[in-house]
Amino acid sequence: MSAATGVPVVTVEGLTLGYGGAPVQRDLSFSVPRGSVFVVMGGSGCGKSTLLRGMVGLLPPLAGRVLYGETSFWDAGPDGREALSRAFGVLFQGGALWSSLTLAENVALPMREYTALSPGEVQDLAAYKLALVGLAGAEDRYPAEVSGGMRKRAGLARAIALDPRLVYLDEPSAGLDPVTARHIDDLVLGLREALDITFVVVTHELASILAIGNDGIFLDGGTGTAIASGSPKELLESSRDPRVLRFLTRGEWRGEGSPPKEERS
Amino acid sequence: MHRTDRKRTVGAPGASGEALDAERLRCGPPENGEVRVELRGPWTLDRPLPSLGPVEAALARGGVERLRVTDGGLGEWDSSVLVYIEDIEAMAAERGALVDTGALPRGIRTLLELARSARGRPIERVEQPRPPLLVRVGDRAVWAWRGAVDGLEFGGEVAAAVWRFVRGRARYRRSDLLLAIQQCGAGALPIVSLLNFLVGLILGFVAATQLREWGAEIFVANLVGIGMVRALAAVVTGVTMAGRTGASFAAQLGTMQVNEEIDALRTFGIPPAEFLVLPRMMALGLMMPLLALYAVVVGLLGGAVVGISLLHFTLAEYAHQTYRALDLTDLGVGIFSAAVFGVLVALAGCYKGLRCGRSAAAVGEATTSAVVIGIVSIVVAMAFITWGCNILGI
Repeated sequence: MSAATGVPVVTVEGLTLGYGGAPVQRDLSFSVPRGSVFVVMGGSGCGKSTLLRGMVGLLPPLAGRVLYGETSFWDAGPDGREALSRAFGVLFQGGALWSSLTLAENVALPMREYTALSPGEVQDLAAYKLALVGLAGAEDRYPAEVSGGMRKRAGLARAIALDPRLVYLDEPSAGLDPVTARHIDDLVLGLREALDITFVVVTHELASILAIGNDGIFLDGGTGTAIASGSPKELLESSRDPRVLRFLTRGEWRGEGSPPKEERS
Repeated sequence: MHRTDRKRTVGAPGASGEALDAERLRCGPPENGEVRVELRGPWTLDRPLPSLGPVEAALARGGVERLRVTDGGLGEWDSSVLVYIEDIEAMAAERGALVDTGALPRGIRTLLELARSARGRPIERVEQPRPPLLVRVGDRAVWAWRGAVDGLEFGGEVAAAVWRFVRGRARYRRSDLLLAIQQCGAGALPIVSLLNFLVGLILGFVAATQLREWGAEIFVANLVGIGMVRALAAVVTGVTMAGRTGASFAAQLGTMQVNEEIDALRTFGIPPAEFLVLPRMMALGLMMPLLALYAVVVGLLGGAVVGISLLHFTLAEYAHQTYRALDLTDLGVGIFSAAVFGVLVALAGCYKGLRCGRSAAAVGEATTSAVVIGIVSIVVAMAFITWGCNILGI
């Protein structure tokens, strides 16, 4: 596995996000190193998905900036934002596949829009991306005809359709059985290794967090801020914050001292 | 936790009820400040729960410090026994007595403990005081202003999409356009036929009953002809399409919003106004004039049925009179109105769908709202078109 290089792919500066003027998360600042699997952790309703929406351009910030390289996403004009959007892919929680298109058409659509490839080449590439996520043979199926796990994998294939260097994953293993969830985790690690993709993963699945995350931040819904940052395993070892420790030990940590041994693998 | 909201009846249950209660509940006399309550037999939701009367009577004697609830041959049980024990606990708490459930089966004790611990963590409900009138009026004004700005923003997005289409640079799938044309064109023919035929028929019948008194039956053809061609065919078809296709657009796009499909489009930099709204708007804008033309023919046929069957004109006489009454301007006004209605209905459906919330209920609300806005905008547009025609003298 290639290590993160430390060069930030995306930098968040003083970002405050919310709905209707009411902040959900305040003054977030962090950067995502290239080659990392950066995990956004926190309990349900703490604002993880809100942060993702702010980073991918679906929710304008109340304050602060999101920088891709040197360019501030929200200060770029519509054309600039559209160009920046092509630099990353997004896997939404439910896959968000376009229901009127087959899996292959879902993957092919961004390529049709943004590449000069012939229809045949686009078709071949779409089939290749689907094969990459283990969906060879399912090209002509519609999203309604496949399982939740297959929808997520197809969503991942679509997210990497334009070969982005950065991919956002919103709860990639939520609602999946452990084996399928593990498969998604392996896929993330494999794609990172093979294609040098940086991943930003929003999740509260502890097994996934510990299995794939090598950097991250911990959001707290109560204070509406980030209360810890670093690799999940390091946080488990060294964090003194009871909120972080309770989360990372599934609530088993109840007092001072080290977390339970069985969680410290 | 003290609960009085669903306390069981404590009065006498009647002779047969008492017998049944006694089979499942035995409440002994107080001994050394303790009352023993034995639960027996099956305690399931398909049986009425025993009266709490014996327990209350035991407590009412006074001097009871502890109720010991025990397993006296408890059969099959479910949550009904838990509720009953909680009611005993509430009753005992009122009289300062303790309840000991330690002799009950482990499952019952675990569930009672779970319920107690959950009640110890009440979900915080922040009561918001009702804001003063001035604040409410202000909120409403801000809400209306934001709605207006949002509507204008949507209009701008659609205008930009149309401009890109005119320049041949719009991003949409032709197959989506053809599918939408099929759905709101050929697919709508049966309902459009039925409604416009009946409207023509009703119009003809009402006109016939009035005009016959003046010996002016032949003008039924004029009334039906001008009414259908100039306005009614377009309005009836527009309202039909608002209920049929506008609602369908709102539901489709609303469901896409719930499934984050529209977010996915945005993250790829594909404007929903181009990819989703444009084909639907073009389909309905193109199909509505054709549907209205077809509706005119069907409506005139409805009027002709009245003219022939009730007024005993020949088909040739009726058709000739209709032909004399109409000119191409009437048809032009009707076709233009239909195109405008088509665009309005499509915009209303797409706007409400794209601005839909993220739940099934929100999709329902968006659909209803799309139909209402579609119909209202048709009537308002008709008023403006009529006013404009009046000014232009056509």
